Amino acid sequence: MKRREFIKSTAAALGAAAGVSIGGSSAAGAESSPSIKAYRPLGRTGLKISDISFGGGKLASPSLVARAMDMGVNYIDTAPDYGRSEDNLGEHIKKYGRRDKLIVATKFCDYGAYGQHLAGNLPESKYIEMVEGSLRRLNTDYIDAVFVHAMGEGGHGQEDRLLSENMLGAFAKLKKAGKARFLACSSHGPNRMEELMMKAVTCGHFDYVMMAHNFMQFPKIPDVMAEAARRGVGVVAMKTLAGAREANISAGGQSFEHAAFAWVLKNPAVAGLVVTMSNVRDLTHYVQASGQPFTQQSQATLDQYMAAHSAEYCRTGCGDCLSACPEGVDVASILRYGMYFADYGEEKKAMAQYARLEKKADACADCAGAPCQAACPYGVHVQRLMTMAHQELSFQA
Amino acid sequence: MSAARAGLLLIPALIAVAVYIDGQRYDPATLKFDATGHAGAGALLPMEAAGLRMEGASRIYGKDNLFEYVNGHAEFFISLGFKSLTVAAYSPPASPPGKPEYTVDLYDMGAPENAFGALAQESAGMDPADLGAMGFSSGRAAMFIAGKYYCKLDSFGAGGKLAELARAMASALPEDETGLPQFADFPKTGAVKNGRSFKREDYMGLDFIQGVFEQEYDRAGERFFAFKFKLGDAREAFAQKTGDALKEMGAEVAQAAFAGAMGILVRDKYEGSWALAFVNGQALGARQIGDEKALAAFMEEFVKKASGS
Repeated sequence: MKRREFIKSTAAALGAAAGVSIGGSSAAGAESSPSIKAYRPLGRTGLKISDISFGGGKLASPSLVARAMDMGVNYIDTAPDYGRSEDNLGEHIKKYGRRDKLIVATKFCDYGAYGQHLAGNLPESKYIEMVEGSLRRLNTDYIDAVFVHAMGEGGHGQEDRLLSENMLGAFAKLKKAGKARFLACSSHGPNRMEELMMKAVTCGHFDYVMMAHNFMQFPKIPDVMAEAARRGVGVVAMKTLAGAREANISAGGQSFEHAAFAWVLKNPAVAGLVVTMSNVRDLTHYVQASGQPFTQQSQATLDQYMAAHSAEYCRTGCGDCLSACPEGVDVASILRYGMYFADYGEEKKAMAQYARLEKKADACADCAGAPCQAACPYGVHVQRLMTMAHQELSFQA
Repeated sequence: MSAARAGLLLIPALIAVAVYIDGQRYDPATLKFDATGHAGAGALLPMEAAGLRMEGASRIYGKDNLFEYVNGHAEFFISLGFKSLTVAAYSPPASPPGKPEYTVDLYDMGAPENAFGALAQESAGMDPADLGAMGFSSGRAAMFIAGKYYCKLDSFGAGGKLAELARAMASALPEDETGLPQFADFPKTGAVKNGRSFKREDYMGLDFIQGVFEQEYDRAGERFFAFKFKLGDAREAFAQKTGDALKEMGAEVAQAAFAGAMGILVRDKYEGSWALAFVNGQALGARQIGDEKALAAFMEEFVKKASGS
């Protein structure tokens, strides 16, 4: 319908309505809508995903997915415990269809705001039950990928979860039934991230992996990526904004976000990145980064960010401080929960996760010598950040 | 609209500010435990419920030491009118002391609308549950409101008794039938029970619509939503800004009038036709109604109800 016809019909429907248009030309807006410029193969899956893909952690509106798809985004990452993310994506699928044009990845985990990623050694039926729940919420009869999520969280014994025979058996059944196509594995870190990701890449069970990867990441991740590329295991990057702190930093006209994305995507082993998109403004801004090369200006922008935030940012997956703590405090996890609280606006989730830790950071303020700080290869102000994190996340009186 | 009521409508904006800015700043000076002077609501909490027993005595917090319990989050509650918090831990009788399986946080928020503000914020992503005046639950947490009380339960184990404990708490609290003033403006016909929600930000994926109170409707099988939010700008400025932003997104936007109130009508490829009317410093809206005639009729009804005409 043309603009004039719309105004005419509007006035007719509203009777007394004035029918005067507001704002600038819509045609100009529609024409300036950005679009995805690059799709890359996701390992041996046969899928090609948009280089800028949809992180659904805060998906509050089904229509946002439709807008993203019209811009060319074709991959969305969700989970049962991302609030109503799966429900909203399911509403999108029900209302807009185009299921075959969207690659949907979700996680093996419990549903709800305070859900939890599944532990190892669970019955096969539990894994199947979780996926069946996702299928219902998503209004679909198949899921493209199911993740064993957040490897490295919760300390040791992670292999139980990574290579759980019951999980693998459940996935095989789901795949045979056409309910799930690919198996994937992810890690935000902090514990043994590279080791676990390498295991996921080399074990032969996983079609692709998703890991924290950004310009402030420590350098071993590219080894995992190279091995993944050699074996045809796909790689998706997340946590690409290095803490997503407010950064009005730009060099040569390229925004910080675009520079950070370009850094991630310059590695050909990365099929695409997922970034949280909660509104049209984010979506538009992020999609504009599609296909942008990494340039000297990009590096200058990232250098400025590093100078401003390096000592405040705990590198996901590092964990060099863990063995240094005489109390056995899970420093990296606590700092990440602190980041969720302070930077991501996920206060309750962060507090609940902190409450579940056996060893908290209450003793850090008075720790003599702060060996964790000395162990940090990046000069992060660990003791101060731990004290702050405890103050913010404490659940106990 | 009275100043007091208008002030209440500022709550959503205050929530966002409190959570994202002030709530992150920790002031060590507040870390001084002193429950003196806080009456709390300990007497309302049963010593035994759902086969669980209360561990020790309940603890009481006031504005001066709420940070001790909800560090970094206290401003959120205080900005909503928080009076006191009573915390009790519950465990099976045979379990070892010091490791409670459940905690019950009973917030006296001073007024039902304040309790709703807390619930609306904290229940994001949870499923509606038949608890109190309005309630939600997930696998490991449950929350509900009853009168001026906002009650939150967390489990730190399997959570098998959570639902039963929540029901026991709900029945132990006095019920208040006065309702929530934020929803008094909404038409009653077809309003879905437990269909109220609060969207802190990015309503319909639009970053300029925040702090939204939403009511779901079901009229003759047609499901749609009405909503309202406080205007931060003058209505003309907001309409212009909104119009510009929506048109940039490819939507059609036109001025409209509903029962004499200035408004806008939006036709969007993704959200369909939806409308806003500006009444007494707030925006009233409706979306997902089948056709524009029905949309206009509902908006007229909504405006009349809200403006008392």
